[in-house]
Amino acid sequence: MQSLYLIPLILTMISGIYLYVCKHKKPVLDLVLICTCVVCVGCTLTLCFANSDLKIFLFKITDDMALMFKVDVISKIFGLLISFIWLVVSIFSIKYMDKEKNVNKFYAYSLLTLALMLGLSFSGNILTLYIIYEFVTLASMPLVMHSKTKESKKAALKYLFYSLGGGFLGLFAIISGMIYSTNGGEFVLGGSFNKELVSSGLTLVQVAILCGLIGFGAKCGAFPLQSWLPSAHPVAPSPASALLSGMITKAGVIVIIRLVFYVFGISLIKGTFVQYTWEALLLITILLGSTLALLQNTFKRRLAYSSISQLSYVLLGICALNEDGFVGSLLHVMSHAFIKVGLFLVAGVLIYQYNIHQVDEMDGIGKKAPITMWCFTLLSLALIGVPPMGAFVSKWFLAQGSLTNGLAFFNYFGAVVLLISAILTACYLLPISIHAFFPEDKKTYKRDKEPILMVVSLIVLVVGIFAIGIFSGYIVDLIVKNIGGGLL
Amino acid sequence: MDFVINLPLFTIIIGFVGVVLTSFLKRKPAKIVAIVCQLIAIVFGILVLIYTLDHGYVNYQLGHLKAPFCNQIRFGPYEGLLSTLVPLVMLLSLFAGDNHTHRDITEEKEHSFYTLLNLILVAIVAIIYTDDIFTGYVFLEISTLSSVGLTMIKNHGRQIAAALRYMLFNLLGSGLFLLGCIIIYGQTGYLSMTFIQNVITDLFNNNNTSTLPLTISFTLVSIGLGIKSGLFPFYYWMGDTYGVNTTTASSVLSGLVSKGYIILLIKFIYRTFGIDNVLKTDLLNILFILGACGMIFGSITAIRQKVINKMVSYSSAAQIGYIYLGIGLGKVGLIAATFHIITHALCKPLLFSSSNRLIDASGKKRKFENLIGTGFADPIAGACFTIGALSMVGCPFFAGFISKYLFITDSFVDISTPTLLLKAIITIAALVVSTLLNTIYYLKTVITIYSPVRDNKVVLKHNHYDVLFIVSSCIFSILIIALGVFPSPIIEIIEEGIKLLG
Repeated sequence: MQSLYLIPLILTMISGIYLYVCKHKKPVLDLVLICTCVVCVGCTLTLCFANSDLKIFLFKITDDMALMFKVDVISKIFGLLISFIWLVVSIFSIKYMDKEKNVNKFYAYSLLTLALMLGLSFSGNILTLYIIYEFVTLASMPLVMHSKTKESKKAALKYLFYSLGGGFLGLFAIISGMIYSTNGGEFVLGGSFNKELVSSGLTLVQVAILCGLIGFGAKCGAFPLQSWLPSAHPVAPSPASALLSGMITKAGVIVIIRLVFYVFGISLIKGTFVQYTWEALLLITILLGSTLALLQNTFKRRLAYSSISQLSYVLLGICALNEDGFVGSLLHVMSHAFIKVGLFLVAGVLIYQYNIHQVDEMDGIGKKAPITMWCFTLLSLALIGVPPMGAFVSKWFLAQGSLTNGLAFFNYFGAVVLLISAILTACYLLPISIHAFFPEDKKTYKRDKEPILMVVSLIVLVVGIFAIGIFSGYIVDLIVKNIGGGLL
Repeated sequence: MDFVINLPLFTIIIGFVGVVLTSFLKRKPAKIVAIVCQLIAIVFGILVLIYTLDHGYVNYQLGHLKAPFCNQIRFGPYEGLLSTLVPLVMLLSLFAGDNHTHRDITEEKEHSFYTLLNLILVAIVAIIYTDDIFTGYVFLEISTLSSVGLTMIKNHGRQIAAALRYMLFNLLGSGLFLLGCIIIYGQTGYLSMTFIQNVITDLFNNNNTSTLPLTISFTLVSIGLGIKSGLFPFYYWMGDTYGVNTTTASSVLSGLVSKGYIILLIKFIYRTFGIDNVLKTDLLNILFILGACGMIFGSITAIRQKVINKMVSYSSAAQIGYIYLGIGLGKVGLIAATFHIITHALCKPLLFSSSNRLIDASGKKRKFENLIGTGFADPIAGACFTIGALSMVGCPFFAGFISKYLFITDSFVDISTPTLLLKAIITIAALVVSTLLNTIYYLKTVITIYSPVRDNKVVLKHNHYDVLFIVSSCIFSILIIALGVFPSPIIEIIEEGIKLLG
């Protein structure tokens, strides 16, 4: 069993490099890409049913810096989610990348990012986590600047700047985690922080944690480091922006979960200025993202702003520092991954088929491409929080977590903000569907043939979001059974 | 093995023999003599390192008189490590820039290029080994004069202006340094570092005498050496000095010569003044602040450059700032500072040699807009530039990451007083800002050189195959990555060396 979970890491990395070096033509490229993703899904699925927690030491850089991997429930959830979503997006990109150049490089960087994201979720201590986090940024940057136009390069630099900058801000937290924990920053549920090692009062460590939360929040677009998302997403090819928005932003979530629950423990944060500041920043982000999304006319840009607010829902759940909030944020990670990837893929279909980038060009598109737009409508309903789809359950838990987070004023305010943001979400997504199906002019639209691979991957995502909603009881049980009590 | 204690002196003597030989030989034999001298210096350095790791430090006295009446050499693992590094980097940058040396320097002058290189080697190695402040001064001047010669070796207008400016700054620095030395001699009556330290400690512990002259001398020495090595705010000579020179010269000047002055300052602080006495003054705090400013302003100056070479040159100012920051953190920070000296000495030659190759590929145009796509025209130079840039940015698994990690952890070793806590926080803030700025200009360059060419008029020249460049840049890259992945042996040697330093 030990070797099993290194397989997806090493295999994806090798096939990524292979695709980059040997410049194959299209069918071979697709075959390698899909096979690798399928193997990844298989391996992570098998891992999920392995009971024991696994640990592997790679090597030591110095005596107190070791690289190690470890698999626990968080790794399993994220690992499975990442490899599954990657498979779906890869199937979509087979068709989409027909019209692009340098396909092999795109696939190669996509696979490298997959390997690193899996590594991120499997990493066993804080140093490994940090190193892989930095490499995720470097490997995913070429995805943003794939078209190599001036805007895309600028956006990629912006992404790099925000992510690496946030990362270096977070290095403060990482290093204090390493110095002040009993086991050099290995992940233990409940944290391994040792107060006696701190010589100068806890405030310094708390400031370090806040720096970490803001710094790693940059990856998931948390205020004040959010502005790379709306620049980077529109310029990237659609599969890449789907991955960026749906999965790569979750790298920040993984790091923050590990920092808060597995290294420092919540006692350092609960009720202090750290929690208040963080909560305030997150609420600002939620409102900011939803409001700005309303004002955008570029479809992908609107989705990017929506991501900013949705990812802050996830962080809001973590920030509540209680079981409900945590369950809610993990559920919302899954739901948001399915929904946002789906929405970006819809944008991809529209760009591929009709070269539509703006929202106001989408009149009557529902008559031309009904399946795509039906998927879009269902996914937007899910994002708004209509039962029985996934995001309804997660928002329920998030609201509950927020109400019981014990912060004066912010507990009710958080729930209210969630409600307002849900209404705003309806405002920026539903009019698109309405105009798409009920155009103002009375032209007759002819139904076009929709590319089968693209439609299939969209339908898979829609089915997935229903499944998450319906089977959410099992997922909640799983999380509560394995993690529940250990958090507090 | 006891014969090894003679080797430091032999290194210096053989270097001088090499200087004499190269000054009248033709260019080919002169080059061979220079290479042989450097190889011998590498081997001797390694032997000294191994010997001192086993036996501790060695006091080696020249002549029959006992210290303080004779000239003394003192060496431990710290000196051994640095005196291996210097000829190694020099040899590799000689190979990496060999092609450009032939192109840039006229044939009748080329032998004196090797003479100057050998002089610099001797001077830095002597600065590393010496235990006598006046010997330190003499070799400081030798290093200054030969580096000025190296600056104007290409011999056209801009170079001569740059060399004049460089010389003015350097002589100012040397003058301040000499004044500091004179005051020390007047106050203590010795030239030997060990004896000076004893007297200074006595003076500091004796409450009746004023320590003002000594404080002034500390300041003069530090500022003098700071000006010479390009500490903030004295770094504006860097752009022309490093940026418009031939490859080997800029690599050696920025990678080694400026480090030589810093090593001398470290020796002064730890061997001559004594760290405990220095801590009673504010010297280290001042160096710390200047270092932090240098990290940020050096990077800002680098961002504003339009020419790749000048950008790489001004980034040296930022890196020198890192080293001074480490020195300012006291004994714990010295580990990080020394590690960064090694990192920077390995990265800078790599960056200079690869960026000069990229300039060749663009048809000798040096602006950023002309460099588009050159990474494809010269793949090896592109890859090497990327490796150097990633290390400078502090990407994990490269040497630069380890030194940044060391800076942060070292600053947090002791935060018991408010000053130390403040220092730790400033360290982190300065590191974050300067890393971000580094990211902007280095990775932007990397993206530029790997962008496809859209303008049809641009014709990229495919450089001819240069074995020496490939081999030496590969060795540089391997060393950088090896230091990033397995830094523990080097860190242990540095720790051991600092323990024995004083």
